[in-house]
Amino acid sequence: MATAAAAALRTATLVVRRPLITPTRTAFEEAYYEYHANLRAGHERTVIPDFWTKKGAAGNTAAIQMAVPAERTTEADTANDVKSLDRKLEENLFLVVKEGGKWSLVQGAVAEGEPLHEAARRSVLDKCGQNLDLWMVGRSPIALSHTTKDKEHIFVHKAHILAGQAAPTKGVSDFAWVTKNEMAKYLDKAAYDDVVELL
Amino acid sequence: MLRTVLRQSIRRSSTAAAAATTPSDAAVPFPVPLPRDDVSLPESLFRADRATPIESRMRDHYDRTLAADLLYLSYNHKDPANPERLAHDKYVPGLNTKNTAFKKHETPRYRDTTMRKPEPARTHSNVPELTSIVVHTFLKDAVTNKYVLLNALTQLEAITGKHPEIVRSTSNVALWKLRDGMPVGVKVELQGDDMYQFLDKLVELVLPRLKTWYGIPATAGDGTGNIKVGFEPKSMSYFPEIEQTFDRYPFMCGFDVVFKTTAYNDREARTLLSGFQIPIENAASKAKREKYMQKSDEVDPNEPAWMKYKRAREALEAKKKKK
Repeated sequence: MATAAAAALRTATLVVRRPLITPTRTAFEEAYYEYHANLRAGHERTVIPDFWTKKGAAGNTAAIQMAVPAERTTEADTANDVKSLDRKLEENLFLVVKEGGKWSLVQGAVAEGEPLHEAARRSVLDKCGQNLDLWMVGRSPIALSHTTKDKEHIFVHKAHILAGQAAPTKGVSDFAWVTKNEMAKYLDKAAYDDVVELL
Repeated sequence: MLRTVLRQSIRRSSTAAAAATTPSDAAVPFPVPLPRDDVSLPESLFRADRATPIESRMRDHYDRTLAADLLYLSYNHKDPANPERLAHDKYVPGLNTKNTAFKKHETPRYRDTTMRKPEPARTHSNVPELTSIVVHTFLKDAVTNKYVLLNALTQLEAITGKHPEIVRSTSNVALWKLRDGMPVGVKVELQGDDMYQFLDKLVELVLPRLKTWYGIPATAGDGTGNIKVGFEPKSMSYFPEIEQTFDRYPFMCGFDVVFKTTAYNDREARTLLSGFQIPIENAASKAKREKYMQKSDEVDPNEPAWMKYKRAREALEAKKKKK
């Protein structure tokens, strides 16, 4: 039981939108895979059509229509819309919110007797709206934040966003979905150093 | 290299000297050995037994997303400085306590899992991982006609891209005319990128089209991290390689897919497979699905009379059909 003198429990949630497309291959990687594809093609067992189909039988010669892949960069990339979930499809996007003029992960207090992972989930939905389909990665926290005042323990939990979008409420003035490299621009140095290893 | 050349030249000169002194009718070895050098031919760069590197989105997904989450889900949070006293630390008469190898003959209770050495702790470099997939077919008809295995061989080769091997029986059962050494099945083991390619096909193309399969049961697994899923013959035709050349095969084979992982228990294995979008079904999800499909056996007390009579008539017809 948390008394007035004991430390207060808070949770922070690292909400992640996982990468949706494969990473961009470097020139070396492309050459490597092309080399092995040629090697494989050169050693492949060929199909002898006469072994499988009777002479004169109409073969299935319809050309296979290959799917055309979509563009790797979207409108959100060109417009650099940091609120969009369609930006930077090949990277992880993390949710940062602006509370009281300061950018941070979504934080919240833990009610008495409430499990930590439930408090983490509830605080995200309370602060960023109910239109979020979240999956918490297990029940255990992934980190204990060190940038706390004397009497505050902030446990960090990881969650994936599966669907929906943040709609800030209750003291949250702004939000953004940022990549690992962009995070330093939003969080102050102490907060960033605390969180960088989790990204 | 230089040393061997020198050694060889010394040997040659010594034999030449010996030949000069030996009689002229000294036997010349036949066939004449060709001169050899130290350079060995390079190995073939293509290895049929190894997995070919292919761009694999399942592997990328595992490396970038799953591995980190699996570490968080399988990590043991108990203080490593004060490990629990495990049963195997207890004194057992006849057991050499200094021997940490735990050989089978020295551990009379080896089968008791609490007596075994603990597995290595989960860290960033030791997370549950999919190591191989074994696709296997057993054909009962192969007992009487072994050439049906040709069909299974070609089908498995088509769907996996790797040439399968024949599985032979190891037991004798007179009732089924089965004898030891008889070829009765076909299997192929996939690893690396080939494995991820097959998994991708299975998850994207085959599993969604199965009408009566809703997921791996929540009780599945062999306890050491391996899970087997069986498929009926119809599932074989959902693979694109078979679908396009359906008429070439006399019949479709049912097959098993064994997912071999580095998970320590069933729960970790199922979590890993779930990460690859293979559904896991338990009682709760089955109830939810049946409620959605309205196939429950519960009778609605307020149902109209015509529904009641319809169900009664259907039950009667089913009973007659059974007879």
